[in-house]
This record gives sequence, structure tokens and C-alpha cells, in this order.
Amino acid sequence: MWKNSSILCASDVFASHQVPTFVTDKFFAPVEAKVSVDDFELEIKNEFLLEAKELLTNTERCFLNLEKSAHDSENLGQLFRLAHNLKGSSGAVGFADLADFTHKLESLLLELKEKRIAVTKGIVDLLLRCNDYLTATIETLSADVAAEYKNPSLLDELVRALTSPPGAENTVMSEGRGGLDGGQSANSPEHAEPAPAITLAPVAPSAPPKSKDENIRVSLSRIEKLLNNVGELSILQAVMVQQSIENGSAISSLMRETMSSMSKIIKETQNISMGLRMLPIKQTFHKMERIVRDTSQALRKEVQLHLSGEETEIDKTVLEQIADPLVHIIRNAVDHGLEDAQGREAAGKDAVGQVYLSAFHRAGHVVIEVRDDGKGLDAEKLVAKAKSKGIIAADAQLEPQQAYQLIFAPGFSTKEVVTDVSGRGVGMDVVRTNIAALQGSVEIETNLGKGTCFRIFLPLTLAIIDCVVIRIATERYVIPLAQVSEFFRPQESDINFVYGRSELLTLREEPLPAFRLSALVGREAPDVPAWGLTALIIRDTAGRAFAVLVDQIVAQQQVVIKPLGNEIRGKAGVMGSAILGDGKPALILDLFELSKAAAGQTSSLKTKMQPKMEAV
Amino acid sequence: MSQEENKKPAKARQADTSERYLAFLLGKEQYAIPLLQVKEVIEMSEPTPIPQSPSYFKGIINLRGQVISVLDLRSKLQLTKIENGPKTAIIILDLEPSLCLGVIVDRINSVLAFHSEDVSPAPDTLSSKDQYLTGVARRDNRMTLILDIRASLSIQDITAVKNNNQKQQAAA
Repeated sequence: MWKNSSILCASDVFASHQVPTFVTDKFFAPVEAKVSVDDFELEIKNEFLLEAKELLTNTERCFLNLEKSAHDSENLGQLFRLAHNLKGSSGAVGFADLADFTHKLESLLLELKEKRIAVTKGIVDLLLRCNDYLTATIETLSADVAAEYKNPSLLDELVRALTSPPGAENTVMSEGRGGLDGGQSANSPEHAEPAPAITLAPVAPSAPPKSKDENIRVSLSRIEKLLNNVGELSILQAVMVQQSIENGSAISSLMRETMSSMSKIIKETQNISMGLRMLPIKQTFHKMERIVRDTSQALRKEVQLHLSGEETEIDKTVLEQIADPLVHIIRNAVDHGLEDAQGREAAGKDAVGQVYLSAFHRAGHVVIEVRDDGKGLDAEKLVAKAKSKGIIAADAQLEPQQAYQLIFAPGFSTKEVVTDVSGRGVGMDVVRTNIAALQGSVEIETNLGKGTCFRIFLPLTLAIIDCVVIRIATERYVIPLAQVSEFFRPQESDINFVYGRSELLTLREEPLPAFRLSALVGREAPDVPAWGLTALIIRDTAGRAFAVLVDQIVAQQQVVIKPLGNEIRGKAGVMGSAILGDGKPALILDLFELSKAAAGQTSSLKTKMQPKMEAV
Repeated sequence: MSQEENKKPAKARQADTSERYLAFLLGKEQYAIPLLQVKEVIEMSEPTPIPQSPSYFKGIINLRGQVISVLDLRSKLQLTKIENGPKTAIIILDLEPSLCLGVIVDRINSVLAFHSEDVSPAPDTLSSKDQYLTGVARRDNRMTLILDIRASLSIQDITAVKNNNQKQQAAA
């Protein structure tokens, strides 16, 4: 549960060289001393789980590194320390089975470290599964400390690996076995490593000198409170500035100076507090290494993943929600994008497929790129496939860019056969939906025979959006700027009437259905002609366009999105609320949603629009 | 303020049978709700209206950076409408689970402590208004109607705001 409510304030807490120890002597009570779960015990258990989770954030990467450089002693040392730490503290706080498991894991790692067991793919697989199990266990226990978490079969596998490592043609193996048999029979950690005891000693001191942990963990709700207050502060400040302008003469110059420096400080405070929600994308990227490894193994392809821009910072909420779409795109790249080894050689490419994952900032957006050097997308094939599946009309004519977008259509798959990895035509559909939910977009660039690049554009943060504040009668509403493609002041000649009721607006010879915003939100519309109003032109990704008429555009600004109470949260067409410059709240409207509801009323227009929508 | 005190049981409940209430006026009648359900009281500020919501749903206000829905308790309880005056106030309720709402009342009177023997059960009538009452307290010849605020704002009704909207949308 803490996963959702806590963020780490500084980025370097994930840096691989920092393995904080959390075993303090006073918690080293014998396991037998365990009584009923009292408050103190619960507290130390929770403490342990938090720390364990932190320890485990980086391990997957270490295990994966093991595969690349089997004898990187620092890497192994780090893993060994991790297992050792987990073993010690899990036993101390009363998770005896976990202690037992991590003890076996530690023994195996020691064997690897001492090169008595060779690092094989099988071993790495096993270690990765241990890592998954540990992560899952910590997750389960965080939800319920009394939860059952044993996994005897995995434990057995560990023991088997210790005694007879898979694919072992290792000469030093037999030496190792002697020392470890003792370890298995004795369950208590003290007796656990009779032989390795000597090597254990130098391990702990050889840990890199621990730089003082300069990070603190702050709950997201506290940061939100801070943001609320800082936001309020800047509103009050704006009111004060307004007052000082109105009563110009009555205000001393000292007062004026103070106010001016205050506004600077408030502005800076606001920037700093906004930054607290930002985290580097590193961890999400590292998860992708595992995805590539597992996917490529399942498909028997050799794939190399290159990461760049891991330090790029992104809002925590966005970060949490981008992982799933990214997994789909990466899998898609490995499965559909890259050819198999023969295919690659036939095309004159290196047998090892390359996937590049990078992140960077560009013009107020975070851009995530997934690039492969595979076969690229074939627009003609895509169109043919879509036609055969009935996704588009048989006579539809598509531009290449429109054709590429077909892969996001629900139920669309270029694969003939559904495999474990992909081919059901569900994944990419989810990608577009999820990214759209994050107010982002996906662009596809492809070069037949050379590769494909998926470029995801995401807002830096979900907490703030660029918007226009508009007015109808006396009410103000907020509309995300991302929805509005242009503003337009229609002349009398631009407005036509369909059946005397619905309005049609002509913009550069394109007829667009026009909705009054007052009608969309269900307000009584004053009977004024449309040519005194301002039109917002809305275009969705499918190219569908319409106009929304409002009385006036009040301002274009950035607003902080505020959640609404449960009682009105689900309201169709309302995305949330925002507090405007004068301290009054206003609703943020989703014009797409609102227009959908209105579309039913103007069925005559719908038929007119039909061919346009059909084409995409 | 008072909420803090209530968290200290020894101070708040000198006699184990007494409970503290916030008393307020709706029209001429004095009503009361348990103080533990009250987060704070603020002066009336004009809420931003929400389209397509019932008449008692007055809109949203900004409470120090938090956006809160405001309901008119008078019109919710189908009492005679009284124009807002200088004494009109908004009680910010803190109801479990995490439901934070404002209700408009005509005037805040005081914090009262009632012993259980002061409170008699609500009159057994069928008028819909009385379903919201948990009891009637009498003191110094003055009658205070103790309101079950959850029932009077009935969560179903609050969600009905939502459903109603969806229905309207669907109908449209």
C-alpha cells in the first residue's frame, strides 16, 4: 500500500552502489522469542518490509548483469550483501521461512562468487525467479504481515542448484558441495555457513563506504498538501498585487519591494514543490531489460537492448502508468519488429537484433522512444490485413501514416499465429488508450526493411495542464489546450443551418458541426447568433473535427488539476476542477466526451460525418 | 479547534453519557449534529455551480486549495427557502470514508453537550423529514433536533447526483 502513497524525494536513492544496511543489533532477537503480533512487532516488521522493498529495487538489474559479465565481483558482492542483509533482518523480525529462503539464496550466491558454481543461463533464470518470488513475497507481506508466502518448490530448486547445478561441468563444484551440505542440514543462520564463514568476513567490510543517506521518504499526500498550500499562497499573492495596483498611492515603496521579492520566492517555492513529484525514469527502464530478456528467450531471438536518458525525470503518476504501455511496445518490437536470425542475415543485418530505448525532454514534454532495427511496417500489408478483418472499409484509401496507426486498432494483429508473447491484437490497443489517458500521444516512424520507431510524447506532469479559461453567460470553465486545435471568430457568412436547427460552421471550406457549450453542459442557451461567439476547433486523433461555441475566452494559463469529491467525480465530460486566479474553482471539461453525448441529438450531422469517420 | 479536544476522551466526555454536538439553525428550528463529524465551519462563499445537478447541489468551493462540493441542507430537507444572510455559514463535514462535503445552514449557534437522558427518540411520524432525525433533545424549554447527517444527505442521493447525470447524458 505504501507503494502508491510514497515517493522518494531524491533520485540517487536507486543508485546501485548504495545498499543501506538496516539491521541494527537491538532487533536481533532470536526467532523463538516471537510472541503474538503486538504493535512493536508489527512496527519492526513493517519497517523491514519497507527497507526490503528498497533493497530489491535494483536487484533484478544485478541478476541480469550477471548474465553479461558472470564474474563481475562487485556485482556479485552486491547481490551477496543483499541476500545476507535480507536473511539477517527477516530472521530478526520473525519471518523465519523468508530467512531460510534467503539463506539458501545467499549460499548459492556465495558459491557463484567463489566460482565453485558456474554462472549459466539456468542459474540466472533461477535467480531471477528467486528475485520475483522475493519481490512478490514482500508485496504480499506488506498487505498482510500474517500472509502465507512459502514456495517449497522454489526452495527445492535452490537446494538442487546448490548440490547439482544445472548444466554443471564445473570442476570445482565438488569442493563446494562439501561445505554446503552442512548448511542445509542446519537451519539456524549461525551454523549455516561453516565453510564460507572465512570468506564472509571480508565481504561486509569491503562494501563501498556508505555515503550518508541524504534522502527522506515523504508520503505523496503530504506533498500534495504542500502543493495545495503553495498554490493557495500564489493566489493570495496575486490578490495582493491586484490590491496594490488599485490602491497605488496608499502603498509605501518598502511594501512594494517586499511584495515583489515575495512573489519571486513564492514562484520559486512553487517550482521546487512541483519538482518533488518528479522521479527519474531509470527504474521503469531497468524493468524493460527483463522484459526483453524473457521475450527474446521465449522467441529464441538474440536481442540487445540499449538504454539512454535513464535520468530523465517524469511525474510519479505518469511514471507508474507508462510501464504497461512500454512493456507492450517493447514486446511488440522484439516479436513483430525484429526478424529472426535467418531473416536478419538474409537482409544483410547482424544476427543480433537491436532495440534502443531512450528518454529525453523536448518542448515541455517527456519523449520516450523505442527504436528497433527490424523489418519495419509495411503500409500495404497493414491495410490489406485491416480490410480482411473488417476494421476498415474494403474501399478505404489510407495515407501511410494512417495505415501505421492501424496497429493500435482493437483486434488488430499482424501475426498469423497467436503466441505466448503477442498476437492477440490486444496489447497495442491498450497502449494507445493508456497513453491517451495520460494526455500523451504516440507517433510511429518506420522505414521498410530498416526498422521502426515508436515515439511516445507525455506531459511532464499530470498535476498541471495548459488550458484556456472560457466563459458562457456568468460561468467560467476550463478546457485543456491539448484539445483545442485553433480558435476562430466566425462571421455571419461562416454559419449555416441544417434543418433550421443545428448549426454548421465553415472553416476554410471545411464544414464542421458546431455545438454551443451552453447546450453541451445543459445550460439554458441565450438566443444569440453564433457570429458574436468564439469558436474552439476540436480535432481528435482520428481527424474528426467539430466546433464548440463559447461567449468569450477569458485567459490562457496553466492550472493545477484538483480532484473532485466522489459525489461528482464520475460526471461525464468533467475531468476535474481547477482553482482560477481569483481563488474560485471551475470545472475542467472534456469536450470530446461532451460532444459524444450531443452527437446523438444531431443525427443528421452524424450521417454527414459518417464517411469521414469511416475512413479512419 | 473543537475536534482536537474531542480526540482527548477524558476532556471531551467528562460524563461518559454525554456527547457533544454542533447546533445550528435551519429556518427557525435548531438542529444539531455530532461534533466529531464536523471538520470546520466557514463563512458562506458563493459556490461555483455545477451544471446538471439537483437544485440542492449548490456547487464547488475552494477550501485552501481543496475543492469541496457544497449542498444546501435547507433545500435538501425540503424546508422553506430562506435567502442567504450575513449569518449563513457552511459546515465542512468529515464523514467516513473520506467523504468531505460542505452543507449550507442559516446560522451556527453553539456547541452543546447532551446527556443520553436529555435525548428522546424521534417522533414516530411518517413525514419523510423525520427519517433523518435520530432524536430530540430538550433543554431550557428549547427543542433541538438531532440530525443523522449521513441519512439526510443520503449517500444514495449523493451518488444519485452522478447517476442522474449519466441518465441525462444517456437520454441526450
